Amino acid sequence: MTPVPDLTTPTSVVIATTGAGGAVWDEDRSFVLEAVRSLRATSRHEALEFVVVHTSSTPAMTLTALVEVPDVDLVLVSYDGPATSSAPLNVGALHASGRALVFVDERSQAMSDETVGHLVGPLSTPEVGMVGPKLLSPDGSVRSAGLAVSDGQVASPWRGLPDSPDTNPDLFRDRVVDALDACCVAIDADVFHAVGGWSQEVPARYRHLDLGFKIRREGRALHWSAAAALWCFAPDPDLHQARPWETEFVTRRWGKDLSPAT
Amino acid sequence: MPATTPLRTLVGPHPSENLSPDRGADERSQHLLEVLSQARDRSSWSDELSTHVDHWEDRFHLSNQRANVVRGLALDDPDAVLEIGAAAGALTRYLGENASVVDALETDRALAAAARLRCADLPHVVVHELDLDDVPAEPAYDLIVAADVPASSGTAGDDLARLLQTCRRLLRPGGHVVVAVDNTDGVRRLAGGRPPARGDGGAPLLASRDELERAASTAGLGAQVLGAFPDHRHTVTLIDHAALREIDVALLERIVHLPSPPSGDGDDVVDGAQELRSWTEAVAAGTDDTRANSLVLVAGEHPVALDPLTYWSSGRRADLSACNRVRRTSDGPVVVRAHAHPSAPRGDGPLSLRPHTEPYVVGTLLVDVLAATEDADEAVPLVRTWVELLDRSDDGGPVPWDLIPRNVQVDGAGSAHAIDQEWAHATADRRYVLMRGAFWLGYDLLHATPPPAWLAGHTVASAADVLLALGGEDVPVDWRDFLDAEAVSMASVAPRSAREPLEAKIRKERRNLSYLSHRSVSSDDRPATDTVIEGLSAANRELRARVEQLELARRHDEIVARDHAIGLRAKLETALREVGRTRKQLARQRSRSKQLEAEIGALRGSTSFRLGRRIVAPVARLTRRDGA
Repeated sequence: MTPVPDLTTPTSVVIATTGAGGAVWDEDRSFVLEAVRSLRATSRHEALEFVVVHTSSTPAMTLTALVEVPDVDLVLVSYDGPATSSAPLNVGALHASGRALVFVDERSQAMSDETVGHLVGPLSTPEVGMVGPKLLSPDGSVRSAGLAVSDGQVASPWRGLPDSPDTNPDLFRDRVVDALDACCVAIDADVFHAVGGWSQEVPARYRHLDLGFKIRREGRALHWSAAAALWCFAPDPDLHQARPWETEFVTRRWGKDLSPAT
Repeated sequence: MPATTPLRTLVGPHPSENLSPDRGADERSQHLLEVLSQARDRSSWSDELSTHVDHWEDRFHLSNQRANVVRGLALDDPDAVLEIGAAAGALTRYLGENASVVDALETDRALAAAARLRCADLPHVVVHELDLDDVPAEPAYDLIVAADVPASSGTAGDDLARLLQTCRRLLRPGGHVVVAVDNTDGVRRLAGGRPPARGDGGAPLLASRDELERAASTAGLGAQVLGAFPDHRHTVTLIDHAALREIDVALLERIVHLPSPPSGDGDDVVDGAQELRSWTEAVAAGTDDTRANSLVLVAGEHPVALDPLTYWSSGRRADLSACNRVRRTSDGPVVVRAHAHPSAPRGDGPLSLRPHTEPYVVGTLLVDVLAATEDADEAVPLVRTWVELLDRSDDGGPVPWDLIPRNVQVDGAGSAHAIDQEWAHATADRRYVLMRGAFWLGYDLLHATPPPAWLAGHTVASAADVLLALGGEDVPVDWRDFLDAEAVSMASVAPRSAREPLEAKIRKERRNLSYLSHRSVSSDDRPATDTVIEGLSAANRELRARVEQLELARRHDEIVARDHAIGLRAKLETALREVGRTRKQLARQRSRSKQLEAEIGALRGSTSFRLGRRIVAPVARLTRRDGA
């Protein structure tokens, strides 16, 4: 059964940007601009707001171009606080008016129709705390379809496999997962604030796992949506490169198996 | 005189024990109850209570202006009164001082206790913690007052129609209902103002003039609607718009002092210039009767005689407060000036109020005529007109203290008339009043928009010197003596709290007057009202932005703190799980240890171990010894 996208719940897409640009598929782009444009272009959502958190060094040209993207309800938030990856997202969430929040890395691009609607849809189920999409690498292979956590190891089971229903039918079925990739997640605004948002003290490479664990600790599940799909051009957080203090911090918070009681 | 009412018969003897501060009351109600319980004077005119104001709610509950909305109607003293929504009894007290029986309804327990305290020495006043629906539907009252009507979930029209229909069943023949509400279409509201919360924190009812009239009609009652400024809570001006328009449309425009002072705690943003503009336009268009800030409905089977205009002095001691009524007579309109609080005991000081009736003069104030003059020569005959009035009043006794140019009206024929002569001063002589008139004329002209060019550059005191000279007076002036005497008069007029001794008040007034006398005002250094308002609005916007920033910072800190707390709990839970695991391991090790000890015991008890120990071990020892 094809999930029904939610096109009415007031939703805020929160993106933190440095204004960076780069080449994707041999074409230069402003990452944030393409992320906003593609998400808006692929959705018929009736109450979609984009909260873009930028710094004072973000090029004015990028902000001007954002303002000019058609049909975008844009909230620009200037942030020059501590340079962590979590704080700008929390600040963005505070400026958001939506009942649902969708955090998107600026180095993304919507691939499926109604990406936002499919991310927000499962949030109406009370036991669902956070939703993540299918993430594809620029070469078309799967980058992430939900993460598995076991014996202290975080794995991305479908990583590198082709996005094909013939060879990998599980990639086309929604399911509950242990953790979600940091590149894009949707979460109910009340739940987000209740769990203390993105942790500003947890090491950056673990923050997506931490947010997932906090939500699971509240008795809510992490849902992976097969119908929502994005290209993700951000580098993967490599947990194997974690410094000892980072591992120690996370181990003290969540235990050796990184798995709180659920 | 009815000893009781159906309501009292229904509820039985009224409990009187609830006069002390209520333990369940919130902080503000507790404060109110304490102020009332400690007050020596709880009368409706009490200066002691009126000056005990730390917060807008105090003013709402304690100001002696609260009863003006009924006081201004000049109804015959009613026999039996029902008050709906007594709050802390400010109006209840006034009704109790003027009626034989008062039943007051107040459903808020703390406020009802406060109202009982306020009326504790008036046994014919009973405060019931009941709703209007609880009152037996019998005609028992001559007057029903609802001056603090709450909004409900329904429309204002429906609320009012229901209220008036119920009241009609309770009215005796010839009785009246008075309902006061904030006007939906009032100029203050149009300029961004919003009414304050009611005494119990609820929202007040907002209604238009049309809704009031229709509700009265639905209830089968005739309606008369007056406008109240700045509102019906602290009424200073009460207007029968059509009647006043017939007398003097210019007075209709200027009697309302705008912009209105803040209502409630002043957290609403009112565009003062917009409010003033709206009022001026409404008067010009003849729609002013729909634009008053508050509306007062007098409903009954028969109309009552209402004055075209009633206005009160404000900021004065109770015994010096005046109630002024513009009234039509067969000889033309007159102003009837009387004590606002006739029963207030007379206080000390050089001034007393002079109740009297004087003709109402249509015309222009002498000050305004003088402000429009182009040179000093043009001003000379006008200033002398005032001096002549002063001379005519000097019959050897005290000269009218307030016979100064701002109280001289020039009629259409150019004749000058003294108006508003409400003060009697024990010792004022011609010289003193001359100096007083010149000083305040100098002040008024320098503050006119624009000030006359021929006074440019003068201070108030030096302008007064010039004006005295123009009036043909060669008074050797020492302004310091005048300012000393004026400060005493002004300080004695104002109400004083127990916390402020008279001497301190005189010193303050003297300082203010001295500052004024040295002040020079030119058209260049007086910012236009629009500029001032714009500046204030910008500052307000800046403050609001800052408040929003701080609020965001607070919420951000909350998120961080919540994450930290969850992290700590998670760490604790992790540590506890680790402790549990370690304990289980320890228990397993202990169990294994016991098992090994048991195995060792069993081994030692075996035959082979014993044989080995008794035979094999000694033989082995002997063998080692022989070998050695």
